[in-house]
Amino acid sequence: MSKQFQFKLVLLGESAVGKSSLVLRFVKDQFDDYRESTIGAAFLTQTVTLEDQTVVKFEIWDTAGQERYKSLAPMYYRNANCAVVLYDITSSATLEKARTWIRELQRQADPSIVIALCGNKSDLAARRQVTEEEAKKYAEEEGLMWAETSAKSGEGVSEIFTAIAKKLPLTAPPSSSRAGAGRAAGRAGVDLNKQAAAQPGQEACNC
Amino acid sequence: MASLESSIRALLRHSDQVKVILEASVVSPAAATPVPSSDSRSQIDEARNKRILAVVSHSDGPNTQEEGSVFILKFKSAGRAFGQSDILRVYPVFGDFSITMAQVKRETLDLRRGSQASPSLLNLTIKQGDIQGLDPLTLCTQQVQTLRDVLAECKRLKELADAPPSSAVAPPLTTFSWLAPYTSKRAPLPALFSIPQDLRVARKALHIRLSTAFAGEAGDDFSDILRIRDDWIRTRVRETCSMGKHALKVRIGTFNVNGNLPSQDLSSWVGGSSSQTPSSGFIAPLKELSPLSISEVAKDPFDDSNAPTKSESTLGKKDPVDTNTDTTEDPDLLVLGFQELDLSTEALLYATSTFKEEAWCTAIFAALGAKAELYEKLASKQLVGLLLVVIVKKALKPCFSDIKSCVAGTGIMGLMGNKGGTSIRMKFTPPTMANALEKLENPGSTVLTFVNAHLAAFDEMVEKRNADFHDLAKRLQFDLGAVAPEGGGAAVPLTCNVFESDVLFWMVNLNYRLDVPDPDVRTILGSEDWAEDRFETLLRYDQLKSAVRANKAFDMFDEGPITHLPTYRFNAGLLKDDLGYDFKRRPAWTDRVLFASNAFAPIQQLSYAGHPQIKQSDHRPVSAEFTVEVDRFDQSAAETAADKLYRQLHRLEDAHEDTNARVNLKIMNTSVDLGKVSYGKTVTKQVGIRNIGRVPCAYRLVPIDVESSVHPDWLKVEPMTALLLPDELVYITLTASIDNDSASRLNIDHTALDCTLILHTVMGKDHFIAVTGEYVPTCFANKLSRLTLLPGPIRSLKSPSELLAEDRSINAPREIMRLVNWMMGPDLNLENVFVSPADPSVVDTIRECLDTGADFPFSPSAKDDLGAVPIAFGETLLRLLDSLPEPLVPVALHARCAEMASRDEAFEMLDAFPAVAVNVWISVTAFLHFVCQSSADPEVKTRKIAGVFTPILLRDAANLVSPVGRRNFLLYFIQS
Repeated sequence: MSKQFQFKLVLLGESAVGKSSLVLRFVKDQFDDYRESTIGAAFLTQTVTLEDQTVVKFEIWDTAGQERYKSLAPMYYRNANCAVVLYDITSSATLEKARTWIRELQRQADPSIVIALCGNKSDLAARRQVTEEEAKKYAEEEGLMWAETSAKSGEGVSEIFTAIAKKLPLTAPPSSSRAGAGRAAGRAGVDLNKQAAAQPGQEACNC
Repeated sequence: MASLESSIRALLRHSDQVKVILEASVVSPAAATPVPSSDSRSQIDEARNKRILAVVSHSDGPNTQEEGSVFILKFKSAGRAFGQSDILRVYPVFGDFSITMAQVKRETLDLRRGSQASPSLLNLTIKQGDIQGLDPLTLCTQQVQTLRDVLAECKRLKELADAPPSSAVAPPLTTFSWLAPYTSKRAPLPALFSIPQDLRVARKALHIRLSTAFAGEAGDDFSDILRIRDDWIRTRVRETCSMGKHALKVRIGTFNVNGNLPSQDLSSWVGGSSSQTPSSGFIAPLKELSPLSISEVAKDPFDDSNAPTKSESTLGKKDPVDTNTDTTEDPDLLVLGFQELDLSTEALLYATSTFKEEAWCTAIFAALGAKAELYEKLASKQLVGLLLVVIVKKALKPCFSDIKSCVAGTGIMGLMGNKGGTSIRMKFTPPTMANALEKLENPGSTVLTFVNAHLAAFDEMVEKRNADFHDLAKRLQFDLGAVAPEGGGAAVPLTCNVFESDVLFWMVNLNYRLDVPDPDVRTILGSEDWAEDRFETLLRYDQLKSAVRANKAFDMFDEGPITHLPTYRFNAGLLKDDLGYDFKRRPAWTDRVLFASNAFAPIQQLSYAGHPQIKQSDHRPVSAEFTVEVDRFDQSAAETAADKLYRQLHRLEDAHEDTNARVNLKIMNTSVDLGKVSYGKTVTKQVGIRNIGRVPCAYRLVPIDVESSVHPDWLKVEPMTALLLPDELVYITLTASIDNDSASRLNIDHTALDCTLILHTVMGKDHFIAVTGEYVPTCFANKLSRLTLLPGPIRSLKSPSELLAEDRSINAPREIMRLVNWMMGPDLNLENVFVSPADPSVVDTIRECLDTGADFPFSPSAKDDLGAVPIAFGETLLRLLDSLPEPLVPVALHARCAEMASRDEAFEMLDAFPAVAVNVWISVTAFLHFVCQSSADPEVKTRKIAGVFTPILLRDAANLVSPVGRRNFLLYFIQS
């Protein structure tokens, strides 16, 4: 039986950099040219299977990017195992915003959090304002993962999530198979697993 | 046909469509030849064999694949009750589905009825081999053309099902899952009808009963959705099925008889002819009853079989219960609770004698006088000294059924019956109205429960009383008899507690006392000074009310306002005060009547009275009258409605794995601007929420984290949780209103009224609703010390830096002085100031002038015969003083103030006051003195004003200091 892990992932970044589009591409392999701005926080899940058949299930919180909802963000990134901080390669201001988010995560989130910096809209390279070198250099300094993606073309999307899955500490006991346990149990199971995933070192088996 | 189609449509969910309907009859496999309807068989058999075949199709949306199924239905009862049909079988159209038609072979010639014209009979056989346990079915029909339509439609659906998945059309979301609500027995909805929901749950708002959740932590969505669903169904079933109300009049009595046998006339207690309402004498006005009803009832009062007809003929026309709440009418139910019926030790041990019960029942009927003819005992239950008797109007007796009783002792060793409770539970089915348009086939009933309890005695035993209540709540259990589970199996005994009822009354010798010094109680009760507000003052110290406030006991009950003297403890001998209360026991309201009911049976209290003329015990009896508005509904219709509603909610709990596709609410306006929000005024805005998903969906508002509340205290949000069917639009109402607490904070902070509401879609995403508003400051709800630092009117203050330096503060708040000075103006009619109610709009105008510094738009010399403007000024002053975050007299000084024994001492006490408080105190009390002295009756006026101002100037939220002492302190300043 393959091992299964469950991790909480949060998406952060300036409004309109493509957070919801990136999730839509990752979860459903779809793209909308016109998406309404997210006013709230959406919860989605997607699994990634690694080469060794390990299954990593991401519980993704896609958050609102608008400044006025910034105070609510900590509620969604608390207990997160990984964060994808997005900027738009056609706007240097969004990279600045991404730096702010990264500083906040480093200060306030779980110290073991895996952070990926992601330059989205790579299909718009003609209007590029942020060079690969600049972003990469910053990521290296801060010890972050880095990649460019295009939610529109799909380029680099599954790669970045797979890379995150590989980097996560896959030492926690696999979540027990709950197939057929009914939805109520499945729901409760999510919570248990969340705790287990948040403290990877701990024995979380409640059998 | 149209009605048949619409009735079948009513059984289906909105997403499902009826394509073809065929009437047929069942063919048993043994008798291959069907029997046509023209045969000699009885009509009943024909109805029994009749079936409806319906082809139903389902689609999740315009771009998803259609699926079909054949439904076989049967009418529940013969006749035209189309709504009452049952879905017998469902054959999904896919895989091994087949439907075949065959000519019926006739072995004999049918010559009975024009065989030439005899329509051809056709057999059809439906098979679905892919589903185990779903046997083939053969039906026969005469509707040849319709049958062809059925076959054509089935063929079409079968082809759709067999077709390879095309890229143009999305595959159905879940193959044939839409059939689940039709084929499975209803999922275990909590007993919607047989046992009412526990009142302790039913009386809590739904959103409070949901799991703990906050931003980013959804809580237990799955159990929440079940709670929301059940509440939704329960509410809507009653909304759709209620056929009006029936007013049931109930009179409750409680009496601790102290071991005595009846020796006095009890008519005032049982019959409503107390001293307060002398008009309704207990001699029954016979003319209120038609002679017909009396003779009929008297002839054979116990013959239940005839009773419904009787009640129809007599009740419909003149019975009070159908003509609504007329307080002079007799109660339908008389429920009396006795305590300490028997104080002997033997009673404690054996408790078998019914001698005392009989004696008291005789006394009750004697007290009813001529009306006794109308009543009879329905039930009684005794536990040692506790007796509960239910007496009913004979004419209504058949309306009561399933009468159960139980007892629990909480006395010595926690078990003995010297303390404890007895309880009676019954179902009430409203009598049929004579003018009812349609007769209910299976009228629904309402459960009434009555508890007579006697809790632990003595002042200091309040915790034991609270514990007794919870003990009784647990141990009073009715045995409802054994019930066989639906699916077969051994019968299990079913019990329920006293709260599992639509209506619940507790009549109690609660023994709760007053936490106020003994001399204070007697002074307040006895002295004329306190005549106006003695009960209100004393009830602030009532242990029962504090227990309710602190949620320690009885917190889900209501109680009417008490306007009678304490009912305990009286002494017939010499050791008593002027009112007859025992010197050794602090007087208290130990005997109370409490009630609770769910939304389907609202209770209105008509009276609550003590009966001091019945003096045979150390307690005085208490009575209370109520009208219970009972729902008139049909049980079968309610069950059908519940089934139908349940189907509408299919897939409600289904969707969390695929959030975006299905559960989808749209917030019509994600930001709300309240505009200017000022003290004492409410601003209301609405937020539309539409379900744009394909499945029913619920939302709830959640706080940002565990410690926070969902919304700030100045904002109300309603409804906090709701369920929306696909495409349904609901509005959330946001109401901003600033009370003293929020104003005292906002006046200092000067913050904008900004907040974000988090609307959590159950099993879906969180939406944010940004609320903004501008707070308009007021002089109300500021500390005195801050008011004296204002350089001018509070509205002109731009920033806190403009406040005066401490050493340059003014003597007294100019707002208070402006009010007092205006009222001291010449020729004002101050007679009704502080006594009569004020016009709220005038009060608002005055406050606005104080806040802005504008001149009052009223001339003090204007002729104002009724004194309406001065009354409004008086009210504004009262409210301004009451809005101070700290009372004018600092709480720390109350105890010392209360001890002052002379006017000189009281004036010396002022040295301890903060300077600004002294100035205000002197000005206000001097003005009050002036008002009292200029009154036509200074003594009465002084009394009234002391009653109004003591709780404000010496506000004592914790009720720690003697109310008499505080009042006396004020009187030193305003009396002459």
